[in-house]
Amino acid sequence: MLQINHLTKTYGDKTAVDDLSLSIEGGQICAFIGHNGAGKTTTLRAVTGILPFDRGEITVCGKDIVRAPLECKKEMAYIPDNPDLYDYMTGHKYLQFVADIYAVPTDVRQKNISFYAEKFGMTGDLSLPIAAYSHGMKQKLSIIAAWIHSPKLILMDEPFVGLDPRAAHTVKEMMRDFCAHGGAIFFSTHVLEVAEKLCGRVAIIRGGKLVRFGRMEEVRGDESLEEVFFELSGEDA
Amino acid sequence: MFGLLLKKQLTEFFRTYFYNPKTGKRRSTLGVIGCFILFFFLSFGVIGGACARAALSLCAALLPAGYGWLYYALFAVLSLLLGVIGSAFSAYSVLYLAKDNDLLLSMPIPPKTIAAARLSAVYLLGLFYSAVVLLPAILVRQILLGFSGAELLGGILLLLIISLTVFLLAALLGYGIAKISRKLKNKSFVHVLLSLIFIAGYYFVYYKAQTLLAELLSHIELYGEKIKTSAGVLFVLGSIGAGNFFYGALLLAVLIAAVLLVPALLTRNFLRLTSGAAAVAKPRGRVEKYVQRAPRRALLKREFARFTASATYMLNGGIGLIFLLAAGIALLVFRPAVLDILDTLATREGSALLLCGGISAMLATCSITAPSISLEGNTLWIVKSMPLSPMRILSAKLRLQLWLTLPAALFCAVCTIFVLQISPLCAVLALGTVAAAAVLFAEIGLIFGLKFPILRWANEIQPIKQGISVLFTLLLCLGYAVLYLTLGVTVGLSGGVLGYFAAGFAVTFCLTLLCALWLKTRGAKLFAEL
Repeated sequence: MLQINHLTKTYGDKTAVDDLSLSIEGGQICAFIGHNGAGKTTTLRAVTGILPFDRGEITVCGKDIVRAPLECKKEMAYIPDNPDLYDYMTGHKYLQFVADIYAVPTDVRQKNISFYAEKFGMTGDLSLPIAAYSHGMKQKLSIIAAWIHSPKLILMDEPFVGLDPRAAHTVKEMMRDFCAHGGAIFFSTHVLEVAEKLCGRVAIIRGGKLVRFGRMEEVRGDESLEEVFFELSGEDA
Repeated sequence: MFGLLLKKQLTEFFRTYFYNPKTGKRRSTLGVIGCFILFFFLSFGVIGGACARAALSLCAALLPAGYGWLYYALFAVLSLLLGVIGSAFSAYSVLYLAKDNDLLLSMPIPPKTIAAARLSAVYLLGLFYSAVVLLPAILVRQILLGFSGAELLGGILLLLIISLTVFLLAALLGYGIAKISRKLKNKSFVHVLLSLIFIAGYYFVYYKAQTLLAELLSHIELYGEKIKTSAGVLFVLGSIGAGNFFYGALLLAVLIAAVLLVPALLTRNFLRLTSGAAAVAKPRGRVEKYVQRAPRRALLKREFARFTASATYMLNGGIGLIFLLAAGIALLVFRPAVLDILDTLATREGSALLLCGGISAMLATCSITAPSISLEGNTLWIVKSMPLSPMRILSAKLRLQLWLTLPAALFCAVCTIFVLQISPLCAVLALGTVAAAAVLFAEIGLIFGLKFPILRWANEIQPIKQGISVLFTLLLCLGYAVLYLTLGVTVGLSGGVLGYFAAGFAVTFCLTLLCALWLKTRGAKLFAEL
């Protein structure tokens, strides 16, 4: 589903992502963990096609993000860490816009929006302008927007930040359900407990380099993910 | 703390002068100097130059006749008008719509300090606009009639008084708009309507002022005495400029008291107004009916929603639309008078050429595409992560400007054709010229928008009013219209109007193709790299 080969991205003299390679198959949830500034967001933005990169290759469903960006983008959805949405639209109008761009048929969008809005308790709020939304409401809206066009790959940058426990639980349910139906999720998080419980695979990045990647049980061994993470970071737990 | 906040506020105003908006890197010293020279040339050179020209004739007529106070009074009124218009509309956005309001309010800074720093920036803006009018008048007086210390000090005192008055009016207007905005649903449209009424009033006064000024100069004594007796405030203001320090000190004391009082009132409500700015209650739970639209239409709708959501964007980007519609209607209403004037200048076809140049000049003031890239700001990730080619996104921006400007420009051109009763060939060429200019100007705006984007801004005024892309677009498009008119008068009217029309259309059309090609290749690449 997602294949990253030797991805390298530099900002001036600083190498943000250094020769990173990993792959995620359909039905897998992969957590992407690392310190602040380790290169998680840069990697996710490069995969999304928002950020041009220097070297390497990224393929989504077998298509190259550089050569066929539109085909790749049709297959995926992205939820950024800070959901800056169109303040001048209402929630309804925003979802309508997203559905239009992904050519979601009227009946499907009606059904999906009602379903997910109900799940997040957002039905009544969708007629409000986004400018009036809290961070959590914006986060919920961008999650609904990511799900309405039924992508094959979802990229999420810190998806649980700002969500209340109920909404966080709903998102986890949705993620499991999505993967059970063959989708793949690659998401960054600082909440190691969530990663440990939710994900089948984990990628640990440090200073732009991928220091560990594989199945959760293999990476973790007999230790907790937190202990492994601190060991790899050269810190005490 | 106050100094720090004021510095931040002023840095926001002049950020693009110090930093390259595209790379985010600091400009070279030479680049900064160049930006400021351009800024001062445009303000003091162009607007101040026009005021100095007016001052030359008024000074020579009024001061030797003993009506120095009237000279200063006239410029005080003009300065007040420009100052209020220049800073009042900014005051609301700067005070209550700044994106960093929440950030600053969350810090251990008293809200009154934040409001005071913002108010000080409004004052400096008003002072600048007032100085652009008053300083040339003061200098012209000193140069033309010799140095007078009393009048120089009086002039400076008058500038101080006018700037404080401008500040009070601008701050109060901003406060009023913020209060009204909290209760409005279609805020931006109401803001635009209010602003248009204000601008219409300004132009009405300006139009009348020309006639009144001519009348006043021919009967100085009569009107001088009338103003002195019935408009005492003007006499007081003028007297201060002429060196009456008693009036000056008195008025200054009153204004300082008001300046201290009014900001106190504003800052008391600052927290309430800023925190409630975004929260307009709409009926909850309304059932929305979703209809599938083509992506092309959805993108255009998004651009339209962005445009209509902001009064600042509509006013600054779309003011030319009002000019175009008003000009078309004026042509129809004042047809005989217009024909009388035009018939003395050129043939009917020649007049069509001149009017088409005028329509192009009005089109040049519509810069909707120029700030549109910058206005994506932090939300740029949305369209960039969607399966949309850069050209499709850019084309929606172009189409919005064309949807708005093309009908207005063609309406004006049709009115021109109807009024002048020109030949069908000339009519087709006139329509073609106007349409090509509309497309070209929209493309130029988008090109500059891509070349000079400001994606990180705290207030939308930055990309809409202070962006280099908007300034360059306005200058280049106006320059193009002026060149078209100048060549039309010098070459077209004598060498064959239809030939000039055809050549002008061909050149403009070719330029639109070149710009379209640039947008499709280099422009799309630039957008992808943002």
